[in-house]
Amino acid sequence: MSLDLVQALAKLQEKTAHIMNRHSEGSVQAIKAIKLLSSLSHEEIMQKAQSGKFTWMAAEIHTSLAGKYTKPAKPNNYKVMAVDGSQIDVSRHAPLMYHLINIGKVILTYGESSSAVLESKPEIAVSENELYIEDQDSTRSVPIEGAVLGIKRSLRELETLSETIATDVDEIPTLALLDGTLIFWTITANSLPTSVTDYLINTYLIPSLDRIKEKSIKSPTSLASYISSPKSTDVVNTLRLAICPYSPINCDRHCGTLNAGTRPCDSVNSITDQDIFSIFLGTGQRSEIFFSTSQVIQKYYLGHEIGFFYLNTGKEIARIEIPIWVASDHALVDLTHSLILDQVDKGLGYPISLAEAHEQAVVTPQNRNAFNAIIETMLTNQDVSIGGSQKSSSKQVRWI
Amino acid sequence: MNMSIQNRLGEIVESNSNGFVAQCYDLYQAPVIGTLVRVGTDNPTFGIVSYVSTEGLNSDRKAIARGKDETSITELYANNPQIAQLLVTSFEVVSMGYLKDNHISYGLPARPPEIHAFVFSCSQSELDHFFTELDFLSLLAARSISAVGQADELLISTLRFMLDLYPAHVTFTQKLVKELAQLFHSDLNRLKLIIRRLKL
Repeated sequence: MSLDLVQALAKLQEKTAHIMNRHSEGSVQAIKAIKLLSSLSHEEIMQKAQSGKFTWMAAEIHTSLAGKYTKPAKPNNYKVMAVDGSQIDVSRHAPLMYHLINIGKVILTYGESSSAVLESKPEIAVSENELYIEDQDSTRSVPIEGAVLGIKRSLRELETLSETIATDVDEIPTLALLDGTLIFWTITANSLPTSVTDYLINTYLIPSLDRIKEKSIKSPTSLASYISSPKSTDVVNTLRLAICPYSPINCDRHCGTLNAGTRPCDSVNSITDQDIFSIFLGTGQRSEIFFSTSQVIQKYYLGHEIGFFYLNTGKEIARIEIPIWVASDHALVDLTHSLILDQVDKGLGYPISLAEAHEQAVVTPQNRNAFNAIIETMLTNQDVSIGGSQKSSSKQVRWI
Repeated sequence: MNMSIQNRLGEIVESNSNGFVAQCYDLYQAPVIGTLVRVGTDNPTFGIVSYVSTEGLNSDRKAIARGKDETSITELYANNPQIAQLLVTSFEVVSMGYLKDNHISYGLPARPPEIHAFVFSCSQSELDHFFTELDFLSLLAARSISAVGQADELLISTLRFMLDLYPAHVTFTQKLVKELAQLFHSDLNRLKLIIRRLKL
């Protein structure tokens, strides 16, 4: 047996015994957090944040913390575009060095002329310049694999969405939707050379956001990303600043020697934003818009700063991220709010366009094996020696 | 539109010696059971539609009820435009004969039609040609039960298709009844049932 389930289950029971206790502690903390939300002035908190030194990534607040908004009416005719992607990563054990990105795209038009476009497009990288990004400041090249391939895939999803929007001639209200976050923090979290980071930002990210923004000036177009069951704590971290007894805040000086759980702000340490808003928001309601203070945004997203709100879809609390040019337009926020609820309703709990884009994009293990078999056949037919690695062969033929 | 495109009913996605499965280009646009169809243009194969199905394009994705709050099926499809893209209508055909040297040979073709071969509706002259002789009825009677799982349904549907083609043609009807009488002379109950179903 490869995994001893009896042993694993025993360990699981032992390690999850404390979860129930933490759950009830979390409920108490969430109720406390809601009271705080309603009593605090955002100007005071922002003043504290600006003068303090802290390690938490706290949300920036432009209005009150405790706003909540009911579901706005949706337009009669509208369009939702969604893109998702999946990948086959480079394998050192395969007979050919390649990666594959499969982009799934869905365009759903509702109303008088309802229609649907569902398609997927594979992109295969084989050549040196497709598999590596050159560092302009050294002789080093960064291989596009693992986390870097994940970044490229996410950026290609955004780029595809932006190109789809830019070429769409309709002027009906449109929501462009992505799965996951619009905050591409992984670009700066992988110790990439500066020139490579700049390349990714300037080739993919900013032009894509610019393209969608440009369309939104001509016709009502919103861009949003949907995060299901978010684990983020940006708002909780803002509350940490609010309840910090020190002025000015200085985490290292006042609490640097204290253990986690014993600091004054740890009275909200067991909860996430989701815990707060699952109690605070009624079905269909959205929260106030907060802004992320992620470093990648401050450094690279000028004009496209990312805001977010929490939405009670009736099935879960979702985090919806939007660029500032959507956040500052009430009509676009209402459009985003109403259309995401409608999409969730049609998708029985998760936006139908994203679910279908995922279905278009998904690369199953069977797909991957079939594709690798085709590559082997193709290379054999061209009399190319297909070495492959012994490790790979060993996994395929499991002898006794 | 080109006639060969206009008359196209679908495209073969499974094929074997007994017949084939064709996928329709448009949802719910399959020919009715009992229809004679043609595959190919040179030495075409003829067959009879024996089964029609509509299901999820991917076998692991089942349709689920989603119209609780919709007032009509049209509204349901309009509010969920992706559904039409995710379902597919297919029809099965049992092979009944083929054309060789301008002569219809009743029976199974030597080789099944190719995958992706186009399936066409038959022209009036092709229908007239195929139904000149009724030799294929014995083959159809033998396969009727296994094709749709219910006794003689396929045979009766095909006979209805043929009778509808020549509604005022008394001689054709007489010829058909005579052929059936010969075919089921040892099973008069079955013959009676078929004649009654056809309201002859």
